Amino acid sequence: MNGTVREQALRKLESIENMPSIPAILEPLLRYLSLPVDELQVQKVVDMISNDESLTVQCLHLANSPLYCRWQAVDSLRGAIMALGLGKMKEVALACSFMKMLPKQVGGIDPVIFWEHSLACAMVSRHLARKLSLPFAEKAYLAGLLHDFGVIANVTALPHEFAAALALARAKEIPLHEAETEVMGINHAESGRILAELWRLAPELIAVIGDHHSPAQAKTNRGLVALVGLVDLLCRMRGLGYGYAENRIVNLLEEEAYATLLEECPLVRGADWTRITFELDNYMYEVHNLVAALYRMQ
Amino acid sequence: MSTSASAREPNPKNFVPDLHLLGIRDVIYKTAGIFQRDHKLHLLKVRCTLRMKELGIGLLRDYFQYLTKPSGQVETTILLNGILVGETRFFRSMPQLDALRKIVLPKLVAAKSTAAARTLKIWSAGCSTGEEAYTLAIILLEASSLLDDWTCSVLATDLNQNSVEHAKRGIYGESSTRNVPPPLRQKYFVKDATGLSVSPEIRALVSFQRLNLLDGRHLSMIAKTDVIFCRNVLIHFDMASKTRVIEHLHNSLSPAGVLFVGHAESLFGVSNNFSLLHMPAAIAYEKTKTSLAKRRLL
Repeated sequence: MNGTVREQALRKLESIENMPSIPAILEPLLRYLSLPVDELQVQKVVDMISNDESLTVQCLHLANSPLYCRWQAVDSLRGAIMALGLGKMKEVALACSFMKMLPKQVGGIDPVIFWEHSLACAMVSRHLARKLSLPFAEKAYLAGLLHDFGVIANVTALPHEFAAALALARAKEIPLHEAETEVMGINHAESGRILAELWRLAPELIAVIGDHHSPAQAKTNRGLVALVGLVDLLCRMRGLGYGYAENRIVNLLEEEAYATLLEECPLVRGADWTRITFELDNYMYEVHNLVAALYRMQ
Repeated sequence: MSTSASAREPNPKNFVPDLHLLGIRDVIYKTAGIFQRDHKLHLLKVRCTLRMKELGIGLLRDYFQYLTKPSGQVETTILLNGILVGETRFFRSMPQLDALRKIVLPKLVAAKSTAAARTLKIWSAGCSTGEEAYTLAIILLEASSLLDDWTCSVLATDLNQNSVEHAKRGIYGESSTRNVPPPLRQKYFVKDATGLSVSPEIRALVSFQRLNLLDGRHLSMIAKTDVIFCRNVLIHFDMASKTRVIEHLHNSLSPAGVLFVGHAESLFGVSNNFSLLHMPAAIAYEKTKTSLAKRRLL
């Protein structure tokens, strides 16, 4: 590997200054929404969200979208929150906040496609964790949503190099992280870890972001890392990847992510992966419409 | 990405399935191995309503219970026959055909490159009126740069003698040939007064036989097949027969061979001798490798 290319990429990542920040509302809102449901007050959520104009608009828009079929138009934030439900509200707040972090049409990646992939990974990771009774089902959504944090880092710090890597991945129909390593000497898992550590994200998120392509190496939360790694692969194979098809044949049971998941969570043995694949397809419509609805208002 | 268009089709009228309909989906999956994705559930409901009317059953809950009785398997098959499109046509299920063309054939050529005889055999098991078999032959001919000095053949079998005779005639109407890309239509079909006739070049690759998939004696003569297409055929068998058919297919397949079943069909619970493979937007099965089989038993 060309050491200089890698060193240059690392230097750019470490000196990154123009990284978009997470909206201020998110941290207190998520903390409040994680309280037991019977302690939550809708008015308090309304008060918090109304401080963020774009999140307010997105909530209203989403509540009126075909995804949440309503008899009457929802014209107040309170009505939107009631229509969506507090659980969904949390997901919408997360998705909206992180979506703002990826600049539009930079680095050659279509942000709609990127967020469709991230949201699909979030939804399917949670679905699978619940279905297989894995102990980290509640963490799986956020882990899936953020697993490609490194793509945002690459798009922001290394836009030209990342665009070249994506073009190579597309042309050779190979996984994005392999093309990134070929072009930049570093892939989005590595760059994601650098930035996630800089931002002091939770250790489990750093592990997912940094090790989802090599889950056996994860030093913490290996089960969660492996689950997200496996779901990431499945989504890419089912048309919810980065906008191109990887020309490859995959036997899940031979994947490092599967072996790691099995080690950490023996309940996975004997799972019906064919049905899981079909169930994943069910998320396509929801993911497609959710991202379209959220993006339309940005 | 060649995402199947149907997977992104909106669910009309925001159809919300009730629990009994989801239960019926599970019954169908357990007994027939066919999974109805969410966007097809409204069609399942229509079929259920029709059957309920014929049987004099008023509530979906009662029909669900009827299906779960020991005698329900026959009814499940009747219901399923109404759901699955009986029509066969050329170039059906493009993701599977793309996977064959772009991934499976190059993989087989690489795996068999040192073999003494450069032969490649495809079997269309349950070929009906021949559209699938001729499609496979067209794909082989179009892959001439890859298969330049290879001897290729397509075996096509069906239980129904009339279907086999129809297939041998090789004359088709507009409806079954509507998916054939215009250049291939021009290249491999001859138009006459009766319809579109398959060219001699294609016919030379395909041989048709009447065959019962439960006839072990005849099936034992079909060996070293590289690719088997057996799409939506297994639903016509009960579990014991299905297991026997799958065992025959397993014996007929070469070590590196690949089995394609219907795009919503699963072998879960039918056989442990096959492992699931993922290719872009398509799944298939390969013979389980010994190490994996051992791992499953541990």
